[in-house]
Amino acid sequence: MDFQQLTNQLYDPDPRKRIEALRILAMVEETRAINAILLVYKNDPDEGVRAVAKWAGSLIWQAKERGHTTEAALEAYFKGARVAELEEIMVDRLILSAEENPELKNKLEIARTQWEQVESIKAAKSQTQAMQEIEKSLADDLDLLDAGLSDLK
Amino acid sequence: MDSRIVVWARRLQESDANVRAEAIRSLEALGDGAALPILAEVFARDENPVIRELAQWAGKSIYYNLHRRAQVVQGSSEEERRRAAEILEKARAKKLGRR
Repeated sequence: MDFQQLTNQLYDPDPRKRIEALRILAMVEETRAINAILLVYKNDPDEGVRAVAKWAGSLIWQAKERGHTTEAALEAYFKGARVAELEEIMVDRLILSAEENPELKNKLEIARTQWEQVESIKAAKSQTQAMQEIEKSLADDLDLLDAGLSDLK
Repeated sequence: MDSRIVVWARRLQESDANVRAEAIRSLEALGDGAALPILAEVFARDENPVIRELAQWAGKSIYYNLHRRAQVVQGSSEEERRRAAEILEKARAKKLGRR
C-alpha cells in the first residue's frame, strides 16, 4: 500500500475505504498528502469522511510544523539513523519469512556461504600477519639475547 | 490476507494492553502492508496513548519499508550480499537462542 494507492483510495466509492486511507495517511504523517486531504475535507459528500479528513489533515499539519516531512523521514530511516533497529526488524522478518520461502532461504544460504569464504580468507591472512608479527618479536628477543650474551664475553 | 495477520488482528481487541502491544509488534515484524489499515484503526481509536503511539511506530515502519522495497534495484551488490549474509547469521543465532 504505497502513497499513490492511498491517495487514489481517497476517491473510493466506499466511504469506509476513504476513511481507512485517511487514517493510514495520518498515522504515517504523510506530508505529501496534505493537499489531497484538504480537497477531501472541502469536497467529500460524506460528513463522516470530512470529519476524519479534518482530523488527519490537522495531525499531518502539526507534524509539518514540527519540521517533519515524509521525504526527510524516509531518508533518515534508511541512512543509518535506525540501522540497529532496522537490522533487528530484518532479522525477525528473516526468521519468519525464510522458513516459509525456500527461494529466499536458498538465496540467503548462498550469500552466507560466499561471506564465510571471504571471512576464512581474511582470517587466514590475519593469522599469517599475526604469525609474522610473532616471528618478528621473537627475532627481536633473540637479537637482545645475543647482545646480552655477547656482553658477557 | 496472511492468516497470521488475522490472528494478531484479533488480539488487538483484547482488554489487556500488553497483549495489544505484542500484537502490534508482531504485525510490524511481519512487515505486510495489509496490516496498515488495522494499525491505523488502533492509532485512531485505541483508548491507551502508549498503544496508539506503538501502532504509529509500527505503521511507519511498515510503510517506509514498503517504500524501500519498491525502490530496490534488481540484483545485489557485493556489499548487499555481505549484509545479507551477516543478517542471516544473526537470524540463525537468534533462532538458536530462542530454542
